Amino acid sequence: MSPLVAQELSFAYANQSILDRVSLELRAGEVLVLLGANGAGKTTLLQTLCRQLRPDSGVVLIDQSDIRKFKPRSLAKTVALMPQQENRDSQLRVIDVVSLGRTPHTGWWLPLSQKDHEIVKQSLEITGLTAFGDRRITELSGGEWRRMILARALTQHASILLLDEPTAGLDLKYQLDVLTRVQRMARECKLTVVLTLHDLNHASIFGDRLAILSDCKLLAIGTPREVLQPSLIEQAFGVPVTVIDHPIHGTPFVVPLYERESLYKRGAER
Amino acid sequence: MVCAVISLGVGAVSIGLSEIVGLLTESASSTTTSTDRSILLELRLPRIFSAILVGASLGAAGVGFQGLFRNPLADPYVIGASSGAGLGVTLAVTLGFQAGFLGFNGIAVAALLGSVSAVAIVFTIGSLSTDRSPLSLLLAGVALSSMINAIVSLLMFLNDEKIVVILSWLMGSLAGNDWQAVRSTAAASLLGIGLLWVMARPMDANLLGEQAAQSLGLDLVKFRILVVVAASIATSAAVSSAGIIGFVGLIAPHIARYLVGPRHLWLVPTSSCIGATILIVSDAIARTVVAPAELPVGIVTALLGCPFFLLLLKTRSPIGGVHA
Repeated sequence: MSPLVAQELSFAYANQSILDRVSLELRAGEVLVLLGANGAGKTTLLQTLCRQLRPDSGVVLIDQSDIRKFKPRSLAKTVALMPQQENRDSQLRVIDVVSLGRTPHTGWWLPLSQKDHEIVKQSLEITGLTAFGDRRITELSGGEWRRMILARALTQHASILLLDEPTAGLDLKYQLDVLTRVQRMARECKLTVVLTLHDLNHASIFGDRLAILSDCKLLAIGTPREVLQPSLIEQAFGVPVTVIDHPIHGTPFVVPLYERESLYKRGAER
Repeated sequence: MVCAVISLGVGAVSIGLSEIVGLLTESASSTTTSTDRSILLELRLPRIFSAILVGASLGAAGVGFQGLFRNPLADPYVIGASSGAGLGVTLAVTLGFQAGFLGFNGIAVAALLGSVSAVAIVFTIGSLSTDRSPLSLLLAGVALSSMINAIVSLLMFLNDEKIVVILSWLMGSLAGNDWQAVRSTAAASLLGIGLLWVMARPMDANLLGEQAAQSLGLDLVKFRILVVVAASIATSAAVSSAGIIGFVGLIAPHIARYLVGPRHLWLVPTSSCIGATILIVSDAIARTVVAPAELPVGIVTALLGCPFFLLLLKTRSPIGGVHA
């Protein structure tokens, strides 16, 4: 049984199509990486997968049940979203924000149990934020803030994780750290993970399958080797590339083919 | 508590601390006259209880509106809740509306209906705006308040025989609140404050934005309705008891945030206590500065509150946690 299925999803903002009949089917324990140029619809797709946006047509099924039938709390127990942005001017502490991840389980009125506190602690450890618990979120750097949002999503203990650019703003160590942990959690805990990335080579290494969105449609979906084809990448991003084998992992490794001047010319032509 | 005891002694007739303690502990000394006793137990004590309830309600309602709109400028006055309640009261007075509900008198019911309707309209207008930002909601509140105030003025103009009664509501005063009024206010006040306290964690989640709150399983529609209703109940309790009193709902949450941080579990009760204290002190000043006459307490809260608030802004910026 597929834990997450999207059938023929279409969505438009003010008559401008963002998604056009996009279909996906995910397996338990799988990491699917969504790729695409800026504005390709990756965030919109993630938001429709967790009912933050209602598609104009099409349906999302979670464990074969229509997502529209879920109550908010039961949906939050099943699907956790790490958004790209949210309100950052609150003076709440990191521990307060991460603890909110337990509310789908405890409810909005009951205090957290010892077990809940343990889960919060684990999430802070996983994201390297143990020492930041008492810090106000306004005092966090961009990368620390993203790790906190990831920690809150992990605290939800949902079986489906939707991560919108989880590595944006992180230094190389934390990028690798986050992606390695997400991949490991997906395998060990049979989590279904959909994440958006801009680094094609990270996608190649950490994604079980990749999907490219372009012109509102799903251009390709499949294994990294099936998707990371020079023609598809050029079509989606407008950049010529060559794909070689990664010297260590053996995975496809994308190398852009450009000289600085030609890139500027290309930009000017557009 | 200290403010309340001191406040008992001040007014047109001064009563000493020992007499107050004697009267309150039922061991009246020989110096205590029956007039003092009557002033203390039948006039000042219910008035101070009213001040506590009204101030606590405004403090809690301010937290509710600031949390809901994620805006440190939101308060019952700015957002239209107080104006709506004021219109409800004005209509009730001019039309002679008497129908009570669940123990609340006609004025309180009219204040509640006016308050909830005004905030519901503000929310609807704000939600229909293209950006749906809290700022749009706030601007909608300011605009609606102006319109409501114009309607209230029109009603006063058309009903000049009732202008004194209406004006006494609109300028805010705790005079004339007896034990019956305290009981009536207490029910609505405690209900509103209690509901807001129960909503503490959802309001924490809402501080992070709608998307975050939704992804944590919060039903935003129910949440907004509950907070609006709870804060409006608290506001209407205050307005029906003391008329329109500005500034308390704005500054009490800010001072509370300064003291206990942005978590609503602590913010709601702390802001209530601070609101109560502000109103006890303001009412004591209102009773004494021009004794034997009295100032409307709303004037005192604004005169005292504004410089204090500006001082707070200067010493700590941004304040609290709706920025804050």
